[in-house]
Amino acid sequence: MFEIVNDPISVEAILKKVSTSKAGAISTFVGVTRNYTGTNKVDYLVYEAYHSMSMAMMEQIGEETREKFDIEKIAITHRIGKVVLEEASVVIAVSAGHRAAAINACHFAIDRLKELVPIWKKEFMSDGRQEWIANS
Amino acid sequence: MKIKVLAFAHLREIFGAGEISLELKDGTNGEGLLDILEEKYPEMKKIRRFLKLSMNGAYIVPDTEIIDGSEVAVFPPVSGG
Repeated sequence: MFEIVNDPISVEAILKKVSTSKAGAISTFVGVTRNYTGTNKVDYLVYEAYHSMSMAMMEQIGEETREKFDIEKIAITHRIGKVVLEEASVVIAVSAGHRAAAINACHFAIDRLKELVPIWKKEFMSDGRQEWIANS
Repeated sequence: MKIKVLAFAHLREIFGAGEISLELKDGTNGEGLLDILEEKYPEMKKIRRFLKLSMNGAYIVPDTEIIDGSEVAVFPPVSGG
C-alpha cells in the first residue's frame, strides 16, 4: 500500500488499491509540480528519498490515520527522480464507509507526509539555477 | 565505535557523498556527531541549525546517544509532497 516509484504514477492504480465493497467514498490527494514558487520560474523538479526510512514513515502515517479516522484502506505512492511540470509527485487515496472520514483522513495523511517522510525536492529553474526546497 | 552516516539533499552535496563511515567515542550523542561532521565539512555550518537526525530509521533529538553500529542519517528539513 506504500510505495516509492521512479516512473509516472497512475491515479487509477492507486484508487484500485483502496477499493473495497465496504467503502462508500474514496478521497484522493494528488500533489503535482507547479511552474512557479514565488518569482522563480521552475522547469522541473528532482526528488530524492531516504528510501528505507520513507517506507517506515509512510507505514507509520498509515497506522496513525487508521487510529484517528474510521477508514477502510489507505495507499500512498511518492515518486522520486525527475518530475516535469503538471505531473504527480505524490498520490494518496483513502477509502471509508462515509465521505467525511475519507476526506479528513486524506488531508491528515498529506500533512503528516510533508512533515515526516524523508524526501527532498530540488527545483531546476529556467535561468539555470537549482535550489533545494524545505516544506513550510 | 563505528557508525555509518548517511547524508541527503543539500547536505549530501556538501559532503560530496551520500554515505561515510565514522569512528566515534562511546557516549557520543547527536550533537557531538554534528560537531565532528562540521569540523570535517565546514560548509555545513550555515545549515547546521536546520538539520534533522535519525538513527536506524527513526527520528532522534540531538541529545540521543548514538549506538554502536547504527545507521545515522543527517538531513535538511524534508520537502516531499
